[in-house]
Amino acid sequence: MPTAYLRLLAAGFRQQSRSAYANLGGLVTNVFFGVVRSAVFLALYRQRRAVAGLDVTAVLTYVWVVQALFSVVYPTWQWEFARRVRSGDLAVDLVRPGDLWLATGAFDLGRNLSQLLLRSSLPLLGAALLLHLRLPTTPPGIAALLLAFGLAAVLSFEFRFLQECTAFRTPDYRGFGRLLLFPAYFLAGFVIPVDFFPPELQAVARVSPVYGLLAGPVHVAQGMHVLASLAVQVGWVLVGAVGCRLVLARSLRRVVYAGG
Amino acid sequence: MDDLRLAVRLGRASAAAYTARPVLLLTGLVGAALAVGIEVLGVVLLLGQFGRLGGWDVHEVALLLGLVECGLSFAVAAGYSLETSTFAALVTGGEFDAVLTRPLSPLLWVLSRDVQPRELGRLAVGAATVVWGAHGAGVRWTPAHVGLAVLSVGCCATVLLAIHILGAAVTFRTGQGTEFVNAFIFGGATLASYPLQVFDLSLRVVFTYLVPVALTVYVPALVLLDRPGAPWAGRSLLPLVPVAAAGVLGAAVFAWRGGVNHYQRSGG
Amino acid sequence: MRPAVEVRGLRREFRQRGRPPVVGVDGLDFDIAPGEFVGYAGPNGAGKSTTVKMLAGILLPTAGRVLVDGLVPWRDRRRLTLRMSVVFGQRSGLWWELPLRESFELVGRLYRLPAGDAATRLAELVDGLGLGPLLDRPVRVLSLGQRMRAELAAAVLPRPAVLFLDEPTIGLDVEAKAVVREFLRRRNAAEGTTVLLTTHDLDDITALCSRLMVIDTGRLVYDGTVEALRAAYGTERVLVVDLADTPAAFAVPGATLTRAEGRRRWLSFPRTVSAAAVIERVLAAYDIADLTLEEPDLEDVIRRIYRGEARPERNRS
Repeated sequence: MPTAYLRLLAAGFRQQSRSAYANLGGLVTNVFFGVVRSAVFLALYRQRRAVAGLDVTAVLTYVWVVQALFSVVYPTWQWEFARRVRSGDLAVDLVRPGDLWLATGAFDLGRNLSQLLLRSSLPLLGAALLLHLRLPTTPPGIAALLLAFGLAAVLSFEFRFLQECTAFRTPDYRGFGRLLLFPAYFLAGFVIPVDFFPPELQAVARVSPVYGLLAGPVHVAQGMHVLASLAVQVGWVLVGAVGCRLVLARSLRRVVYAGG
Repeated sequence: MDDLRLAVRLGRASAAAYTARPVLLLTGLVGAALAVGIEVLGVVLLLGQFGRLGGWDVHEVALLLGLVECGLSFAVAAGYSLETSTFAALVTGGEFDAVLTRPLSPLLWVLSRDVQPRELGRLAVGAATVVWGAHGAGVRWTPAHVGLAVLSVGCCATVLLAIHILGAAVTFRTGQGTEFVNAFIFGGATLASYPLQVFDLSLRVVFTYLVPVALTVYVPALVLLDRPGAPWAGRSLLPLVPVAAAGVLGAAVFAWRGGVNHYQRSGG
Repeated sequence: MRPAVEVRGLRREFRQRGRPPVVGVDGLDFDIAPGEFVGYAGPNGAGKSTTVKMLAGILLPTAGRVLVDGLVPWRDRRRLTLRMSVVFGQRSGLWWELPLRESFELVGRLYRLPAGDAATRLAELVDGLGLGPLLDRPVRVLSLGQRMRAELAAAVLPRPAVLFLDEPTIGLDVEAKAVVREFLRRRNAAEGTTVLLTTHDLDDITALCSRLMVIDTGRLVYDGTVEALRAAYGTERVLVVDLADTPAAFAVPGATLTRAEGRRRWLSFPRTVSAAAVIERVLAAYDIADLTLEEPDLEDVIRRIYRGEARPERNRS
């Protein structure tokens, strides 16, 4: 049976790869944001060497890792599952053999890995060459970074899946999504590095479920708190898996009852 | 003018329709407010660490950010139906046929079909940020200064909406939404919310003269803050602000008309 | 009197990348008189909606001349929109989230109707279409049939001189279809609205249209009355006979026995033979329980035209 999920993962990878460069505009948007934010940080660091433990190289690394990961954290297919729930198309998935959550997750992960490998990595590599980012160069460092990115993709799926399950309960799921999304992104270090947070907020951010989406992989790339970051990611991936299963089981029970 | 009045009325009605879904409206309002809130918080924390950005303190930068967010709120609220994938579906699905049978300019009809009231959340926090930033920076709210802020928001909204319209004009020809539009709208808005002097000359020139998002915010802010500004983007450009906004909108409407003609020639 | 719609040599090609252009509509000529109710039928891709789009000013023709209510549609599109309504069966011209009442109010403003006039007229339409109980509901929650009735009310509210209907009964149940047809018939009779009805539903045509145009591969293959089409190109008529008892043999001069089942017999006979004569012969020779006369199915006639089995001369132009 596990081979079936691997097949789904491969299918997701292939599907996304076919359209990897269809949406060049999205890539340009990523690069543009990277350029703007780099310019802002370069200006901020003009008279400073290190702030809150980050030097300018570390901050530029932060900028471009976040740009690379953002399309993974908020992929173009966000809300697809929720739409299937609302339209009733989910019934088709429910009558298929195998586990719905694993199947959805495998396909999603496949798409996201393709996104990472073929697309998001390009601006990051370009910036690494042009701006001398601080990315790991040793085999264990590279392995840790790849692992952190992979875990971010899994966590991203779980995070989105939980949000999209609100579609079982309300047609206004996107409103609730927006409510959650912005604070979550902020806490994950989307707007500024978590290292610039006040100490208390930083302590929360370092162990929060969304840490592994952006800030964790950033830290691994910068070579800071590597093992701690990976540990927090793994921990929340496991918790997220249990959470997703519980929520899905409850939601499906409601659907079955409601459907008579 | 008659058309415009009608479109405003239709737009108001479509926005008011969201009151029938109070949960969606409320979560949307708060969500939009939060979207600005995290940006403001980011600027506050960042400048808490660094003190100044390009010589500007936190209040001055916040004033810029607030003006941009106010402009963005109007542009997004009005341009919601032009959002890339929505509009591409309208064109390729043939729904635009029906638009052409209405006794109203097609552009105004499309814009008025879905006006997003949730952007009021963005506007509220944006305006509060302007007030807070201006207060901290010692701006005195003379009538002229208030007029300047309104002009800035109006022109910024106009430019951002014009980019939306240009994107839609391209969609008539390609049948696809183009994400490039977002690079200019949201990327441009992000760029304009920082003091322009921190950017390269090339970026400054593009976003002042070609896609004048930064011009419409930075230059009025210079006058409000009584600062000279960056080379090629000084406060002497103030008279250019409304001219540039009107020019970009005019170009966008011209391109849109070309797009509609193309649609009528090719059959969608 | 000036025709409501005048079409001469109308042609439309669609360019394709690297291939010769496809001809969508190829040399149409027809007039529609004010107050006429014309059905427009044809297989998918025959050029029906291409024609309607050109008449409505949505699509530019490659060649030819069109006048709708005296206006060139693509040149005077904005002026024409005030005198013409188009109902697309699958698309909504109403506001999805607004209560129906408000949608109608906005339509009134859009077409610059004086407020009092709009209200009286709306009350009349709401009555005619049974929309009263729905006025406070948003369009989003209406059933397809309810929505189509609402679309029609909105379309005729501004008293268009010309009404183009694109598959207005598609997907509707029998009852809703009946309501829509009755409404259209009355509007046409009472207000003299010129109607061009594109449809796949031949019951619509038999119920409503005094005239039928059939298009195939971009050309008009029939333009005339429904009866004339039946008379000229219909299959033979069929008399279904229910016998009182089972005779040893059954034969009627001038008619052919096509089917027999229990005591029921199907007799078909050409249009040149009068039905009365056949019935008389049957009654004279056999003991009859019941008789039914079946007219040829219009659908069948049109299908035969498409297939090229019947290629009628244009009997009107």
